[in-house]
Formats: sequence, structure tokens, C-alpha cells
Amino acid sequence: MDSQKMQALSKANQEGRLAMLRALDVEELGEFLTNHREFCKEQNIHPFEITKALDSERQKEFLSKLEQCNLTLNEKREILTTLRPEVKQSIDITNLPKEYATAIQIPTKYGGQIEFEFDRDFEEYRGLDNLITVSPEDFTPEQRKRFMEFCDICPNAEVLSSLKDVAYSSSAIEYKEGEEWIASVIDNIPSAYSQAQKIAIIDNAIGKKISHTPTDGTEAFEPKNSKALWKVISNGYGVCNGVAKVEQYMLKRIGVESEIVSGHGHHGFLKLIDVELPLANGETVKGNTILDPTWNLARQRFGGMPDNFCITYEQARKNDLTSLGLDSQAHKNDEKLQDATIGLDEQSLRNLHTSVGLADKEGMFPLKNLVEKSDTINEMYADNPEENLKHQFLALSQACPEFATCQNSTMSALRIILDFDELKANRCVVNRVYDKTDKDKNAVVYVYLDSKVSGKSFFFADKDTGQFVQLPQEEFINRFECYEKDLEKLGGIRSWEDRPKEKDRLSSIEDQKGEEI
Amino acid sequence: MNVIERIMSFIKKFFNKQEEIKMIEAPERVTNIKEKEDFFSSIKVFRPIQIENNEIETLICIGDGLGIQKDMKY
Repeated sequence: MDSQKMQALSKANQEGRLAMLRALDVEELGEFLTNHREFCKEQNIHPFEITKALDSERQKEFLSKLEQCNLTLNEKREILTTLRPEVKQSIDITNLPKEYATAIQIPTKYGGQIEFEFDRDFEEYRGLDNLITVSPEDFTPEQRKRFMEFCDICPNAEVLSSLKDVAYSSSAIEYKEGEEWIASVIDNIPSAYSQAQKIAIIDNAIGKKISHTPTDGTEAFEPKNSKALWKVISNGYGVCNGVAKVEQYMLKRIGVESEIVSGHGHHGFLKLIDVELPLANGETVKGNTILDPTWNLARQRFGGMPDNFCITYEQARKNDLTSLGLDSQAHKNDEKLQDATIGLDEQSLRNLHTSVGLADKEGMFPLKNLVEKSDTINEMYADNPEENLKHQFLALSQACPEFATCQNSTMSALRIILDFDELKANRCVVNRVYDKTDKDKNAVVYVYLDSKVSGKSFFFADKDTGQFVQLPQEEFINRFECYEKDLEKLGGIRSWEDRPKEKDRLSSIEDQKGEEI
Repeated sequence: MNVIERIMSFIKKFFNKQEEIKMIEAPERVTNIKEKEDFFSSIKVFRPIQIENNEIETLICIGDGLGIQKDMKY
């Protein structure tokens, strides 16, 4: 292929590239695929994507030259599988190698996608991951078990889950990892537990496993990774809808029906349908209730009281109010939620969690230990804010060793244990930045303290060491940067730089209301 | 200010006397002291006071309620 054509290929988008390659004569196409393997790899061009769209005559012509092309066995099988039906019928497979014959025999749908069949020998699918898309949400237990075997053979096959009629893609290996985790949670729930007890266990397990996507609202945010059911479990990150989807899927397994509802703040959560809740007075109420798994994530991760667990619509709306009295409207949806009239009062919530071992006999949640430890540290280091801070970090890391990778939950916990007055603070900021050398711009939690006693200190949550690491100001500023979107919200002023405060807090909430989160 | 202006000012104040500010009273039928206090509390208007840098500042995220929800309890 001459350099002019190569230049045009380089400049074109993916569809354009494929169209240009399909227009080549078959001999030139064969040469291109043999001589430009690196280019194809870089541009994510699969040979079958070119050949599947050729007309029957050209497909047959290409087949006659297939063995002369320097292609892998999998690439050849992909080409054979995606041939037009009439071309497949014209091939005599009796003398072909088994790998080729089985590829030709696999039925495909329009577009070359394989029609997945449970009763087929999955070995025949090996290497054809790119051609397989399965939607396994409604599989029976037997089908799930069988599908797990497939996942070992085709780990990169596409597995779809739906959310608001949009399909989100996980890989087969993520499906397997997700399903194994789900089974480890559900299979270990005592069968004698009531419906409410089972829901409590599942909500807690989700909080321990998943954290809110820490890049949400930034230029580094990738929505499709945060809404795909099994990817959310596998990666441990999800946005509100994605987490709600995980919980909805798991609740369905224990026979609890639910609906994902969006509030006016574009926030997604669950309405549980016709559930039974035990009250502290001995009564049981039955009806619809609200469970917001994302607003419970930090609470569950750090052993706090999950106060968004089975609440009435009235309570959910109360929870929408900020400390400044501003209504975030996160759960406002009168039409969908007017029938969510049952909920657990605080004592009933404590009793329920005591009954499943998630709170102690007095109904106290494990966060109590961390808060008490934090109070002791405040007393011990009353005159030394920097040492106070370091010991608070240590206590936090002991309570949650994975704190650096559950960024948003960690930020919530830091709000509890860091005491502005005890730190003698002029200013204390807990927020996110990214490492300038990280092209993916992953979020890093940092704490900036400007203390009347110890001056300015910078710490960041180091994923490698699992500790908060202190850096001199200059080094911190050289290494980390704020996300563009965060800077926009703050009028271009970094968190550690002086800025007006309350106004920004309010406008920041207003900004987020327009986004799908 | 000359003498004439002072006299004019006095006359104006005399004729334009403002009404005294009357405090809202609890309904007469409320006799219980606690109920009275509750009544006064219920009509108070709370205005958020903007105090600079008096709390831990965090990210605001509607997705998980960070910076919106009340602090975790145990």
C-alpha cells in the first residue's frame, strides 16, 4: 500500500478506515493485513470487521488467499465465523482443520455476532470473544453456572446489563468475578433470616465492596464504566444508578422487587416494593420504602448507621437538606414516591442491624470505636495539630485499610474524625486531585491543613503504601493538580489557595443538579 | 444645623411619631410554659451565618451525598 493511502488511513476515523480497507481489491487487502499488523493493532482494526462486509464473491476470493495472509488462528476463525451464510454453505468443510470447520458452523446474527447457545461445546467459542455478546441478567441459576464456564473460555466476551433501557458493557471475566462475589454474599445469609435482615446484609456488603466513582463530575469521568452491573462490582466503583442497579439485581435474587427512581437532582436510588419491615414496638409494616445504596456507601464502609436504609419518602426528603438548609432535591419525585410510606425509625433500624450482627447489643454501630479513638487523639495531641492529624490518619487506616481506594467514602469519614477546632485550623480541606504523571487522572484524596499552630500541611492518600503521606507544599503542588471541572466550580482557584467559601458550596450543588450522576 | 432647622425637625418628629414595635405573643390558650417556648421557637427565622473557614471543607457530590448529608452517626 502506498504512503498516500496509509496517510489517509491514519487520518480517518474508525468507520472511515474500515470503509477504505473494504474498498481495496482482495489481493491488496491481504497484503495490507500481512504487512501492517502493528498499525492494525494500534488502531484496533480486526480483520473480520473488514471481511464481513465484503460481498459474497469477494469473500470467496479472500478465502482463497486466506492461508497466504499472516494472520493468527483466532483472526482466521473470526473471519470464517463472520462469512455470509451463502458463502459458508458453499464451503466444503470435510477436509478443513477442525478449528476452521467449527468456526464456519457457528451460527451468526446480522452483523456477524454469534448467536450464543448453551448446548454448544464452549470450546468452539474459544478465541471468538470479539464476536460474542450476551445479556445474562435473567439467567436461571443453572444457566448462570454454565455461563461461568463460558467466561473462563472467552474472558473478553461482552456481557450486557441494562439501565434505563440503555445497555452497558462488562467483560465476561468481570461477570464471573461479580457473580462469585454476589454468591459469596447471598449464599452466606442464613436462610432463616427475614426479608429485612437479608436486605440489611446485602446493603452492608455493597457498601463494603463499592465506593462512589471518585472522578464523577470531572473530565476524567467515564460513565459507561460506572453503570455496567458487573464492572461496577469488579472495579469497586459506581455512580448512583450503577450502585442502585447492583443492589436491585441482588435483591431480586432474594425475591425483593424494586424500582430505580430518579430524583430531581438527577440522583438514582431504589424504591423497594411491598416489603415487610419489623418495628421496635413489635409491629410489622408492609408496603413500599426507599433504600438509597449510594448515600449509604460511606456509612457501610466505615461502620456508621445507614440512615438511608428503608426510609419513608418524607424522611428521604428531610435527608436532602444540607446543613445550610439548602434543598438538594436528590430524592424529590412526588409522582413515583408518594406511595413510599413505610420506613424504619432509628430504634427499629438499630434493632434490625443488631439482629444480623452489624450493630452491637445496644444498637451501636462499629463507627463508635473510630470516633472514640479520634476523640482520645484530640485530647492527647491538643497542642500539636500536625501530630493529631497523623494519628487520626492512622486510626482511619486501621478502621479501613483500603481507604486510599475508596476515595469518596474516605472523604466522608474524614469529615467525622477531623475536628476543625481541635486542629486549631484556619482552614482544613478534604478533597481530590490527580497526579500530573497519571494520564488516566485517577482521583487521589488529599488533606490540606492550615493551622494556627503548625502552619500549612499537605497529605495525600497513597494507594501504594496504604498510608497518608505528608509532602512539603512545593512538592505537593508540583506533583498534584485539581481537575479542570473542580477548578471551574471554584472560579479557577485551587482548594489550597484563598477563596470565598460558602458561596462556592452552594453554587457547587446547583452545578451538579444538571448532570446525570 | 441652624435653629430653624432644629425646630422643624422637632415638629416633624412630633407629628410623625412612629408606632411602637409590638412583639408577637403566644396564643392566650397556650398556658403551658413548654408549649409557649415551642411556639416562640417555631416562629424564629434561622438565617445561615456565613462564617469563613469554620469547618472541614469537602467535595460536594449528590451521587453519594458527600458534603450534603449530615455527618455519619453510630
